[in-house]
Amino acid sequence: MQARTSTEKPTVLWRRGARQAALILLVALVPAVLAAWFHPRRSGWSQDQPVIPEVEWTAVRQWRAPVLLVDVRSTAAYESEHIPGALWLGESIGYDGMVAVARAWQPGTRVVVYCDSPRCDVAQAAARRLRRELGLQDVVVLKGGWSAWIEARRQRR
Amino acid sequence: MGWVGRIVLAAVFVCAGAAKALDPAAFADAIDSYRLLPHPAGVALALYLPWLEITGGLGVVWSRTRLGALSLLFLLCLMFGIAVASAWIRDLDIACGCFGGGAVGAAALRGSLLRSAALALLTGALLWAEETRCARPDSSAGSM
Repeated sequence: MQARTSTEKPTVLWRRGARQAALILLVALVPAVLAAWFHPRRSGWSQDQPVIPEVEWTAVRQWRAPVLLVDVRSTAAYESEHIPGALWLGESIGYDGMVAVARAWQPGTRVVVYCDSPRCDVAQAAARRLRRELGLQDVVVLKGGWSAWIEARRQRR
Repeated sequence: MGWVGRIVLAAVFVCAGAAKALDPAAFADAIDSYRLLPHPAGVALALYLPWLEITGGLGVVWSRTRLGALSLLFLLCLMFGIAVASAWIRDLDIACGCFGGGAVGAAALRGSLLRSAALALLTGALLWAEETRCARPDSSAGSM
């Protein structure tokens, strides 16, 4: 009987922990469900997350419209070197970065977002946010990002 | 000293959860960038996870939910660590998204990984202490 009590103790503890965890999981579900319906900044459920078109640097160079380049790489990378005239969106693509883009943007300006490489998803995410939060429609992503620009510069020389 | 650790842990999780709960769309983008989940699952997680962090953080403070809250937060720390480590190994140039954004790049991911490991250690130590306290014959559930 004594042996049974000593093995029950951890089981009782586990059950108590599981009950408490279940309660927390349920309580968290309530505001989450409300947010799914009412949060003004909720995301769409659609599987087809809008994919922002990508353009080659050679095409960007031929545009006649003014271009606003937006760099979403790290601080160190931007400070080390960036495409001339590019605006840095900030490491967290936060409020300050959005305000900076909104201030720099003029009607008719095309926005090109770039990050480090083709593996980088930050440019797509940033471009989606610029479209969604600033209402900018003419926003594209630089195909290949910074590495493609470096390669294009190397070929020009 | 245990209460200091619990307050720190609760503050970290409540702050992290609140930052993400304010902008679930941005957090969904951050989850998508890990390329681990389909988009609808990322959206659902972006809506739920911040509130789980907040309730879990608050649950640590209250003795009646502490054991369950610490267990959940420990699992969350492990989950965050695995997600960030996988992004780092795959050489993804993304932000952690842990506090609703964050720096981009491998160095930032390494920092996030270290933070996750530190939080997992703290949570694990508090969980172990709580289990030890609860297992004592004279333990009372109502203590702070």
